[in-house]
Amino acid sequence: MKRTILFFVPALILGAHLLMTVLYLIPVNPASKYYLPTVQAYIEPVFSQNWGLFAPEPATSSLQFWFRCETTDGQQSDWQDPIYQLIKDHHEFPFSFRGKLTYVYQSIARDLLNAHVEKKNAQECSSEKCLAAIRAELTSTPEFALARRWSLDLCRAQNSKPIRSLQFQVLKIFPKPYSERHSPQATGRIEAVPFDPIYL
Amino acid sequence: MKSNSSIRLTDHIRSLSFLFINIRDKVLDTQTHPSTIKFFRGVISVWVVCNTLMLLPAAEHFWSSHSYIPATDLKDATLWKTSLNLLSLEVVAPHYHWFLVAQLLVAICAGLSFAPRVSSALLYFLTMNLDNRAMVIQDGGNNLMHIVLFLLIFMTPHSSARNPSLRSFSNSLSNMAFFMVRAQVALVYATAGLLKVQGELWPKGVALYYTMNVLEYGNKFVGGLMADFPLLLAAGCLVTVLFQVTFPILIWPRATRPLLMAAGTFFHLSIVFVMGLTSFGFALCASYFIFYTDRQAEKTLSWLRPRARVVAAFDADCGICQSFARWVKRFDWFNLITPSSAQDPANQVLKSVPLEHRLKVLQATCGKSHVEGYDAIVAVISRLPLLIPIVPVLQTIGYLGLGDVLYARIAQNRSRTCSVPQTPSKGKRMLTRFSRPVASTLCTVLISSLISSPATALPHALQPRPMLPSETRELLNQIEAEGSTQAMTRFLTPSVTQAIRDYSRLEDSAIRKNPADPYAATPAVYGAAAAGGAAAKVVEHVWDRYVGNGRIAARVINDRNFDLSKTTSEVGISPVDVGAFAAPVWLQQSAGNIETRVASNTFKNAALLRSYPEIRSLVEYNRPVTSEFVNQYRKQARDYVNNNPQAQWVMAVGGAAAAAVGYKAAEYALNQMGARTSELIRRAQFNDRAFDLR
Repeated sequence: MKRTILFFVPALILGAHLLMTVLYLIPVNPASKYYLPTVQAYIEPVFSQNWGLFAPEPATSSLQFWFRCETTDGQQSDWQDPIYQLIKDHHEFPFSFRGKLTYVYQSIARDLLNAHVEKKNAQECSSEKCLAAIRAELTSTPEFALARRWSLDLCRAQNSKPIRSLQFQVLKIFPKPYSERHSPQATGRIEAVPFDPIYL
Repeated sequence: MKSNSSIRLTDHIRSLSFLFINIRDKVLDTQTHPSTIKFFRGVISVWVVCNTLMLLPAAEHFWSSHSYIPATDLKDATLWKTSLNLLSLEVVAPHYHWFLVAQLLVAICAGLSFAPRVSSALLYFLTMNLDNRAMVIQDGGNNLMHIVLFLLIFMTPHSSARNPSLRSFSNSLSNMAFFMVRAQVALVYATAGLLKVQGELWPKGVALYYTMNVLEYGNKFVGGLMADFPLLLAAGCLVTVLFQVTFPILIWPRATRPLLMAAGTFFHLSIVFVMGLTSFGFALCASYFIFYTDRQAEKTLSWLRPRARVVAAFDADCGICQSFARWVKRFDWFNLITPSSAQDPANQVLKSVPLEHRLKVLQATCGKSHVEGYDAIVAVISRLPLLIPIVPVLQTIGYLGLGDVLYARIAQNRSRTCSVPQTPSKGKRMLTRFSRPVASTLCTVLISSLISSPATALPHALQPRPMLPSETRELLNQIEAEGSTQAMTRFLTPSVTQAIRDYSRLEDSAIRKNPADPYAATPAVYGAAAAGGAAAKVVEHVWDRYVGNGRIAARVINDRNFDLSKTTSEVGISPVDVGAFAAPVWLQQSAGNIETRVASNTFKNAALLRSYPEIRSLVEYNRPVTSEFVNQYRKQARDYVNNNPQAQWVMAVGGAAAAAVGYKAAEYALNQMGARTSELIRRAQFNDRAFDLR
């Protein structure tokens, strides 16, 4: 009897664990919805997991962060993309920190873009005036503050002279549509969210 | 009777009890996979060490207090959460270096199975603290490793508890945790695969085109291949989905496991090198080692122990053997290999092996252990420092049973007349066992790829078999005998049915005469094409009767597809549409490329369709039919096509027979796979735009 108990206790733990994991992973259905609080309470502290792995849809756009700076003597740089070269280097040699470093920088751009989209959707915004108001609102968010800090660090690293202003924009670049894959254009649709210049 | 049933029931209960007791005793008294656990822990530790070392040069950007990664808000956090987010505390944050050093040291201890449970617990604690601080750089690989590291805490190769109850509980816990890791890996693929099936771009077969053309994950060369070779693109997508969906099932039987592991390793290594997802790819590869059998793990572990000298007996009369021996000696930097002659009768080490056998198969002896053939090659190569990195690959080949096959092939082609034993090798047996399911899987994949993929916006049909008038006659008789004449007339319209009848009255010799004529066109072709339509219907009819593709409403080729009044957009792709596309192609060739311009312009993709072998075959099929009457009917045909736009619909039916077979097979395959066939088909159109992002 003692041995049976010693067997059944871990077996029950195993069964319960598998059940919880399955309920956590399967698409929402009446059962998973009903047990959601219990399942989340069990899974998320230790077994939190997400196996999207390019599903249900794969990556269909590239996220870029462009910035430019103006020094106090009036010299303005061109738009620059700090992530692009990092990605290129990573693809040439994938066994370095560069791949993960792009995650850090892209998360800054992504968080800013998500905050923009969230506000835009919440306010059902489509006119340029409304969008400008949203951009103004965003300047007080932590996402914007982080993007500003990063851009400023990049500007300072590139310029020996003091920075007067800087500007950045987040771009979402889609590949060419499949039907236009042989067209001479370099990319497909581009969605840009430009922010107003920041004067220091 | 009653007493017999009772006895049988008692027997069943008794055998079940025995089974339960056996399982219980096995789980409580032994570690089911001690070597696998040991090896797996080592592999996971190596992954942790490599991952950390890779990030180390930019540690400041990931873990320091002034990195761009925001710290976790621990205001209302539980004790557990706080303990795993220590680096988000201002007091601890500047000391992240110590966490890194400690993690590396502990990972080495865990890898060497030194105090396995304690070192695993520490490794989990340190890894979670580091990863939670740099949350934004985590991917699926890290996620899996977190769960695995936690479960490793409960796994131990050997329980050291003295108390029997405690030892039993420890064994039981370890065995359950071991199974949990296996189940977790299977669940990763089940979830990813099923989510992909639910998506739009994966079933359409274009997901890889977009991913490969995204800067972050793309590769210019592979992206170009995907754009230029639609079949490769579609196959890549569908094979990926198929692999992920079948993995959770096929990984359990030992027969299919090596195949799955090899395919998965290839899949994830390609993710590493093509997409640049290094830690993710290697994490998934590492996780496969949990499926190693204990014997395999033990064998692999033995290779990692300090190398002992090996004596290899090379055939002195064999050119390739001697070249190999010289080459081995050149790279044997630590002098671990002693080459000897297989012919030497005084060879004391190999005295137990008959001379004849020594000449046939390479022998290697290391202490008391003795290996031969492919295993001997691996034993030799594993002692050459320069080639140690390829040893796992060689071992995998051996594990798959392909090593013996390769060895046999090379040995048979040696310069001397020696050969390896002819008894079927393990590899051959395995290949034979797999050939049928593999072939059927490949067929399923290929057939599936025919649907809604850019390669086959027009479905591949089986090669159309020329149908002679006499055969058409027989067919009509059969249809009549089955009482389906009315249905056929309804589907094909009376005029088409009449054309079929007209055609069936021709002599076969009229069809077979005369060479191909590029300007051939005749009303008889009208009948031939219509006969094809009838054949399509027969295919549909027979297939549904004897194979069955599920509910009529869910079928790709339902009856509505044969209604000529319906358009493509209403009913999806139908064989009639396929034929309709074929029609202008044929008409262009048959009527001199001039008169049918209007007809061909109706279909934008006519030029594209011309490149399909099926369409060419259809044209070739029709050509001899027309050639006899070419001079007589050329003008009539031109007028006919110009004056009667319905001709294209008649020709449309001609494509139906071939397309029907392809479609029914594809529909059946997809139904078998559980895919939402009708939805997939609804989405498919004859235009590349269907594969664009919305």
